[in-house]
Amino acid sequence: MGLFGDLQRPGVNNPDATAEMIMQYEESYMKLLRTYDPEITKINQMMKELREEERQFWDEEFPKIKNTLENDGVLSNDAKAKWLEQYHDQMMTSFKMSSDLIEHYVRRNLEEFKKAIETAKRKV
Amino acid sequence: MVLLEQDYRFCVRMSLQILQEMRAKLRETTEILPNDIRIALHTTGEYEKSRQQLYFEKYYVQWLNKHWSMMCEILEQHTEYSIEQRKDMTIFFASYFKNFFEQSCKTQSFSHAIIPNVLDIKGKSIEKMIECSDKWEENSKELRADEIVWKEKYDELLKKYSKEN
Repeated sequence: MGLFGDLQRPGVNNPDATAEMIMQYEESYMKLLRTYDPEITKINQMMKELREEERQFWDEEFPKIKNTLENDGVLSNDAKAKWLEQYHDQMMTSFKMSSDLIEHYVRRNLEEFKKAIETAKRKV
Repeated sequence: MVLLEQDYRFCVRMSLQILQEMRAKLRETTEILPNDIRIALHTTGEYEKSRQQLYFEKYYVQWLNKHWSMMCEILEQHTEYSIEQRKDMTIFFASYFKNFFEQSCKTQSFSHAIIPNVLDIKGKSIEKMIECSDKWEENSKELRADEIVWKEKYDELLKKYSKEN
């Protein structure tokens, strides 16, 4: 379960925990994972889409545009270099913004999940 | 401002959608260069370099401004949200948009801007909107109108360059 699976399971490393308590903890934990499953799937999907878009851009599209412009015998070389630099910079900034947004979303979900686990632990 | 969970999710998805669509527009422009950019790319002389910078700057400022207009258009279509919810969502987007402008300021594109501080001015308008959240609607309209205001400023400068040379 990636990020969410790394959170310590309730009942682990607790010497006073009985078998019943541990089972109840595990049940609460699994229930929470099931509740958060749609969010986890969504986050994975967002990250996957962004990574794929970035990969396609840097590996395929940008080199292709660069090549097309460089082989254009009409346009000024300085101008082409400048346009490419600006294009590169703005795309990179935009990708970073998307990445920051997803990261914020992940952190917020993780915080919520942690709180829910703590609440579940207290009830057992 | 505390966004409800589902409103927060909507904001994140909306912001990601806007960023993705605007990247797609930028890619389209570079594949099929519009006339302005083509003219700018043909420039070679010293004077022409300033005109070229103006064309590029105009294009990117418009592109950046368009992110905000797109957000406004999307929120307008979602009539299920109350005024209060739309205010919180606008301010959420503004905080990311402000970062976007700040990062763009640091790029080479704007380090030698012909209209100096063009992005700083924008950044301050966004900050004003976040700080004076009571006037969010008015400030948001102002930010949206910037798309036309800045286009006119650049067009005027370009005309001036053409007359003087």
